[in-house]
Amino acid sequence: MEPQPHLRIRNLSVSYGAQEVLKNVSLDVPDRKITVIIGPSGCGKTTLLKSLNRLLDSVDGVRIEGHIFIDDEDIYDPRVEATHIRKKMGLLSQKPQVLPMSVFDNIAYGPKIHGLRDRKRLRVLVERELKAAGLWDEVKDRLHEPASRLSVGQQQRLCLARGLAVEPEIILGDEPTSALDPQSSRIVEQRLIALKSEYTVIVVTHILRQARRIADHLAFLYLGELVEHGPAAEFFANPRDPRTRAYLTGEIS
Amino acid sequence: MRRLKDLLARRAMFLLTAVPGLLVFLMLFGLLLRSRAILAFHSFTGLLFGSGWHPLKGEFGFLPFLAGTLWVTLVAMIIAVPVSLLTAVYLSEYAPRSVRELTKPVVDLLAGIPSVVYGVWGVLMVVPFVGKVLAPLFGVYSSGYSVLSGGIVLAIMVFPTIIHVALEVFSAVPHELRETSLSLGATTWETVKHVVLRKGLQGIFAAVVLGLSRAFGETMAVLMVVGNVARLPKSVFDPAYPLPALIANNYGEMMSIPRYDSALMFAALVLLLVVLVFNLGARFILVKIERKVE
Repeated sequence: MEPQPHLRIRNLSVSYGAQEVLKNVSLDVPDRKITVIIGPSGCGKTTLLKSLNRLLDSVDGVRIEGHIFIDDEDIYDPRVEATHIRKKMGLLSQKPQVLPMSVFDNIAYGPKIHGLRDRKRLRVLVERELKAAGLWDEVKDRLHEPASRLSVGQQQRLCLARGLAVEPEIILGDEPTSALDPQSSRIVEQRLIALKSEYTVIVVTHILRQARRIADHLAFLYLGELVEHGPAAEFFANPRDPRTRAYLTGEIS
Repeated sequence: MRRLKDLLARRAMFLLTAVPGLLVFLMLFGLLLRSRAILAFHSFTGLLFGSGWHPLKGEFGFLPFLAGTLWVTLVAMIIAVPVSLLTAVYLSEYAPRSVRELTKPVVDLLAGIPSVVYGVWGVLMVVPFVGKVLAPLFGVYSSGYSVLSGGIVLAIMVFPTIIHVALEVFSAVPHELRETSLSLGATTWETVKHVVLRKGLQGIFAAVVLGLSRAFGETMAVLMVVGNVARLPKSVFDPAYPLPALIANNYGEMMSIPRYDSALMFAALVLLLVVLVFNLGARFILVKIERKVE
């Protein structure tokens, strides 16, 4: 029997007011693999991703039922602090969201909040993260310029590096390449593939080709329901559910 | 024919746009013209920085009034800026939607209350509070008609302006940006401090300047509670006599005194100049912030 994965979703239902967005979703997310969640827009992909990060807490009129376990901690246990959960997950959003500060401070923001004050160690950390993101050579002379002056592709890589600077365990990507040109998309995809040796990666996308390129494991959401999930090769070769087949052939989108 | 209409419409609208722009200059010019009578007897700086106000002896020093205006405005802003910004932060970042939707119209309602009502309320509540509670607390005597009372009343009048504009500014900060900060493990307060306020810095500054402009010119409510004594205030418990109050109290009354009329015109000119200078200064700082934040 395989060891239990870090991240387990159990009977998760989310509704906004009367509208049910996720219906009884249960999913084990394999460690150190890329799990891609696919499905047509409006099927609850982003909601699922945000629920992992407790970003739904602040939404008005939201009702969340079920459990999400990281290791053996239920993140919706009222005794658990949201900031502590969020630190464990790096979020990469659809459009790059650079914070209104310099390139340097964007990376240093997280570590500073978590108590790292030493200037020298911060500098070392920022350099390390930027090098890992393959950005160092491009931005080393512009560290103290506003991050908003970088190109969109650079910004998204900066955002990824910023997320990694707080040493998360899990990386969440919400259609992380949808605002990028093909070249930059490719770079971000390669970064994600490289990162799975150390992190558990979950990516939401509606681009099937992207899913084929990067996924180890797939989950198909349709109208708030987890229709099918499994290893990528099997998922694409032998989809079991007729709805999955319809989605893969482009009949529903 | 249609093109002629278009041309006419364009010309007419241009004219209508140009009028308000020119109006400021016309006002400046008119006031300057009417102040000439007093400027012929006294120097500009002598008038501005003279502290004696004895119109019967022909002595016109505007320093007490200038100081009164600045003091009252300063006190008002010191109270209003933090209170209204924190209110706006609470409403936009912490409060549930129902509270926000309920509070917004109430705050906006405050802006619509006529200033005389604020003045009366100030005389009834704020003046006794300052005179009987605050002043003894600090061990000083005050009638209550003071810079502080003016500042408090004025602050309350400025709240809705700053809160309203600040709320607009905060709602323009993208939600995803907050999520980004939160997902790095920041608390809501850290997110507000480092991200929301920073992103909205320009707008917040503009909100404060709008409030400030309102405070400078506010006449009625202030003149009812500041005491109107033409002496330099030494503390916030002393009475003051702001410029707008001077003009409103005396125009049309003391016209038999030589050059009094011209002195009031000069007062109006100074007030207009002070407001212009502050607005230009604010513009200047705004441009600087813009360059810094982006």
